[in-house]
This record gives sequence, C-alpha cells and structure tokens, in this order.
Amino acid sequence: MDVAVADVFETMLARPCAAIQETSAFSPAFSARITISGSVRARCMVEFPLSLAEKLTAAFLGPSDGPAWDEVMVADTLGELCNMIAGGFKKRLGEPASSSELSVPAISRIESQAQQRNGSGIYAGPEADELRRAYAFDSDFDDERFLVRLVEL
Amino acid sequence: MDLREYSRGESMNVLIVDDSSVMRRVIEGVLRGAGLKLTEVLQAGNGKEALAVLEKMIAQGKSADLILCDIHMPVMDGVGFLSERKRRALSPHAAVIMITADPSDPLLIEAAAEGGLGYIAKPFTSEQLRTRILSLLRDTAEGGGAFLAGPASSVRQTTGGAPSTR
Repeated sequence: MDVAVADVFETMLARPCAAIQETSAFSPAFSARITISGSVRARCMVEFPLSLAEKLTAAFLGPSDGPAWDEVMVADTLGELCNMIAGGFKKRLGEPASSSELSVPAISRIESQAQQRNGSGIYAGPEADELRRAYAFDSDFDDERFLVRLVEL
Repeated sequence: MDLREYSRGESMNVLIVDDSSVMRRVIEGVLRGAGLKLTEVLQAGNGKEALAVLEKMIAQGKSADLILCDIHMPVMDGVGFLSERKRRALSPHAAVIMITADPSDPLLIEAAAEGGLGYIAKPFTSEQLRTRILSLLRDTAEGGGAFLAGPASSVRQTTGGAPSTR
C-alpha cells in the first residue's frame, strides 16, 4: 500500500509521500471509497481533513481563482486519488487480483462527529481487521495527514 | 493522424473523455506541458458527450486526431463510446488511448476490439504520456494494430490480446 500511495504522489505531483505514525485523533471531512470486487473483494478508503483536501486539490490543479477550490472539485480530486491508489494496490497484488474490478469512486462529506460514530450509512468508522495507514505528503503541512484504509470484504 | 504527418509539422486536435473534471484538467495540463503540437484540446464528461463533440467537430470541418478516453464513466462508458464512434464513423482515423488506474481491467480488451490503440495507466508523468502518444502515432504510421501497454513498457501485443501489465 505504501508503494501505491507514494507512486501517485511522486508521479503526478513530483513530491514524496510517506507513511507516518498517528499521534493524535483524526477527524476527516471527506471520505472517498472504491470497492474491489471479484477474486479479491475489498474496500479502499481515503480520508482527508478539509484543509489538506483543499491543498491536495491545489497541488493537482494549481491555485483556485477564488479563496479555495470548491467542494465539488475537492471531492473529485479525492475520488481520483482513491482510484489511483486502489488501482496501484490492485496491480501490485498480481495475478489473483487481475480479474477483479474497481468500482467508480464514491465520495462522502462528513458533517459531524455523530455521523462518524454511527456510520449513518455513508461514512464507515474503524472496522475490525482493516489495514489503516496514515500519510503525510508535504512537510509544510505540519501535523496534517490523511488516511488510507483497506478492508477485506 | 500518424507520426509522419505529425513530424511534418501538423498539430493535433485532441479530445479528452473522462467523468472527472479534475482528471480532464490534469491531462490537458500534462498535454500542454509535454511539448506536443496542439491545435485544440476539447473535453467531454462521458461517452455520449464525446460523440456530440465529435459530431460538432465534423460539422465544423474538423476531426479529432487523438482521443484520450477513460473506461468507466456514467451515461456511456469508454467501450460504448468507441463502439458507437466506430458505428457512426466519427473521426475514424483518430489515435485512441484509454486511460485507466487499473491496467488489468478486463474492459481494456473490449476497448482494443473497438479501436483503442493502447492505454496509459494512472498515475503518469508528462514524459510518459508524451512517449505513449508518439509511440502510438508511430504505430499508426506503420499500419500497426498493436495494443500497447503503458506507460513505459516496450512490450507489444496484437490487437485483441490481453493488455500487458507492468
């Protein structure tokens, strides 16, 4: 997973992205997810806090005309990031996964802590047996991090 | 368009087909930064919109020389677009490159059967996209039907075979 994530950032954005230790609570504002179905069945999720999601969008598209990119573009960016990470991960699984398919990305805006806690059918909270990795892609962003979660279905 | 025409100084009309507006912008930026000779770069959000763009171009006496097309899109996906484009003979000589985050996507085989000349896997650099485009233009000039894996592989396979992976 680390290689798949790093590949996206190094290739598309020419910047490093490394796994880091989680040292504080994490409250995502966006969650993008893709389902892998077939011989391998899993769900890949990418979760970002708002400010980091906006910065990622600017990294892909350049500065916005206004104060920040709108949430439609931010959500689209995260969907594409999740798509590339899931695709890179699937590619590296090799033959057992080659016949599996990726879904189109589904992106959720997480409005409240309550929504995070109870899942509300949209945002999936922490799950047992999930692979959960935190990443940082720009040292200028201090403690800002995003999560990649992989759950076997 | 083939490599001979491009080498003689012809520039390309390009159509980018992807349901992600972010990816369309990124690809256009990569194209413009890759040093390719471009006349016009048009965009469409799905296969149906792309067909409408091609029809409009034809009405204006133009055609697409290069089409970069996502596979999975709402309304009409990449394979459906290629099939309908072929049926209606819209820009039939355009070089078509599929764009995918999943090099083992089974739909790449169907895309090859419907006229896709190759694919490029996301993520890709500007240089990788440029190399892919020029190699396909060369293949078009040589009358080839090879469905090329991308972005950096030199392996070639005949049309209809499974796309190779890195």
